[in-house]
Amino acid sequence: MNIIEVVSLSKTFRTGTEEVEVLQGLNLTLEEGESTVITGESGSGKTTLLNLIGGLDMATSGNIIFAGSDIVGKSEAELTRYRSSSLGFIFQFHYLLKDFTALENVMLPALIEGLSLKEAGNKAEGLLDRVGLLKRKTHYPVELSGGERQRIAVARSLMNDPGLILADEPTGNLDEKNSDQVKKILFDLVCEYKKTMLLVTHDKTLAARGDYHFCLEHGRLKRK
Amino acid sequence: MKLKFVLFVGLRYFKAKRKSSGLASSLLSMIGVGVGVMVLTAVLGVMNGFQLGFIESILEISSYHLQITAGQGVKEERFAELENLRAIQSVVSFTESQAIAEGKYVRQRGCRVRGLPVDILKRDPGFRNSLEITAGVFDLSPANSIVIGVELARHLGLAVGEEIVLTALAGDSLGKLAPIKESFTISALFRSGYYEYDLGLAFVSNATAANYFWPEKEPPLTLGIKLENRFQLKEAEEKIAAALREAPGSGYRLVAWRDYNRAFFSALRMEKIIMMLLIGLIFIVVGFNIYHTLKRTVRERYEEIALLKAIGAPGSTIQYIFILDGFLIGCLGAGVGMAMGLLITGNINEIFAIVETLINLLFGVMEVLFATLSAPGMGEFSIFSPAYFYLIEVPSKVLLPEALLILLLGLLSATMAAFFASQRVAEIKPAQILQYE
Repeated sequence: MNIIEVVSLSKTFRTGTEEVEVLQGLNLTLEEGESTVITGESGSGKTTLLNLIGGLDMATSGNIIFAGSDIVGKSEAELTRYRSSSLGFIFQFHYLLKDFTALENVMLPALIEGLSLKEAGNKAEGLLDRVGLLKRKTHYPVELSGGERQRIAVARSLMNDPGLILADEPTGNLDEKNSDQVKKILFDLVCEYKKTMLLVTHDKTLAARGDYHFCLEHGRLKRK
Repeated sequence: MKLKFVLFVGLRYFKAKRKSSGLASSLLSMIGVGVGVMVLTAVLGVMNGFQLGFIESILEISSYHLQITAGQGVKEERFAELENLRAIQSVVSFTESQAIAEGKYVRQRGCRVRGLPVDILKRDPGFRNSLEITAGVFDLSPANSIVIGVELARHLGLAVGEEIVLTALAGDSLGKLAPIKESFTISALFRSGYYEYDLGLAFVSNATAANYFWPEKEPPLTLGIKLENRFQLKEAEEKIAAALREAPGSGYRLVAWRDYNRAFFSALRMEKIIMMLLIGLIFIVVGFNIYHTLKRTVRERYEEIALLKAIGAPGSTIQYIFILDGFLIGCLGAGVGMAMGLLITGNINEIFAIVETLINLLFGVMEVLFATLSAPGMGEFSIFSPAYFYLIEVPSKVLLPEALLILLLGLLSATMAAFFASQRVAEIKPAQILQYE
């Protein structure tokens, strides 16, 4: 079953009088429970595609159908709701809140959704356990290594049981050892929780782990 | 608004300031609000003390809460029922005339001579409590007995038991006006705390006043009414009208205290409003300080705001987190400021005494150190010297509605500043901020 269908998606950036068409009528379908990896050169539009699917940016034209509903043209409030309830984000940088412990950082999406502190805390502890950081739940980001921070970001992305996980170079900022650890945890959890994932990366070993692998070239996707 | 989320993040951000560089600016903001609230509370408290002192003196001694002036020939018994009304505390018939007072020496002074019932102290507790009898006994029953203010006695060089000579015009201005002169025996001296009264007011009995000022006809009937609550004028007027079974204005004239002192009370109110506005300017300065502090906080947290937006927190909810920050600054600042303000207002005389002692101590040390430079005959320093101010002690009174208004002002200045400082939150685009390339 399709969870997301991208139809003829275009995105043009304007810089002064110059127009750059980053995405040109791109089509993509993501099946439920499958991982799709997109690779491409820097500036090819990988992150732009994730931002458009994640409702963080506005498409110039085309449609993004999520669970039967087009998110293009939705209001900011509707997009916020969509991000909160249906998406999990993992960025290249962890973007953990520095004044919150590991546990509290994982709890945040659930608190936005309106869960009680206790409910959110229990759920976050479970996820921290799965990423192997339960013992470090009271630690602040500054007290954790880069790999640990990114594992917490992975746990945070799963907190609201999202239909789709969008990962933007999740290991791009890590050394090889930590990168391998994060890769393993990410794919294991996606598989365990039967999540749909769209991941963009430069990392060929990471690309090889996906169910589907596309390359983004000249604004269009090519199957690898 | 997602209240739990706002409180969870907002309180943590507020607490986190203790460890960050934002502590100093937040503390300054709180101190600013606190100082504003404290100064406004203390200044208005002392101002209320003075103003209410004047107002109470005027109402209790001279003008009453309501005055009824009856037409010619109307008897006091016509209004006998009024004393039984629950809203009314006391009803007193009085007369008032002008006279020139003379003592033993050549000095003279114009004064108002008020005729009162001889049992006035029993009938009007407000009047009794507002007068301090500094010499003699307040007794108007003997013929030609008079009670005068201490300042009038001092001005004329008179004491209790001595004679004061009053000169007035008797008769009808349509007919013939003739000067009359009469001696009165001073039975007591009073102090009201209001200089104008102490210098220009004298009390005699109604009978004495009638004999002296209206020797050939009946004096006009005027009743002074004190209410249980002087702010419930309208209800009292309606009750009086119902009790007299006449609409107000027919057969008698009813005037309220706000009307016959309108100019003076308006001046007092204007004085207070201007003072509030001037001191209230401090909240604008404080507001700007908080605005810049929180604007910097918002800028420092751009990435976190972008992340929260990306994971589904609405912009308005994130804005509430920063408004909460301003609100907490306002709460703490205003709370401590109000406590300090109340402390100062309640102990204003002690504080002045300490300040005076310290300054006098400093003067003493300077005098010893620079003996050759010190001017001879320098008196002791006094903030409210009795030589210049008609004061025994500085009065103060904090009114609850004003205190709440001041608290609200402090809170509002901080919260509004936070509201405007956090406007940028809505403009933050996660896609632009959360780029790592």
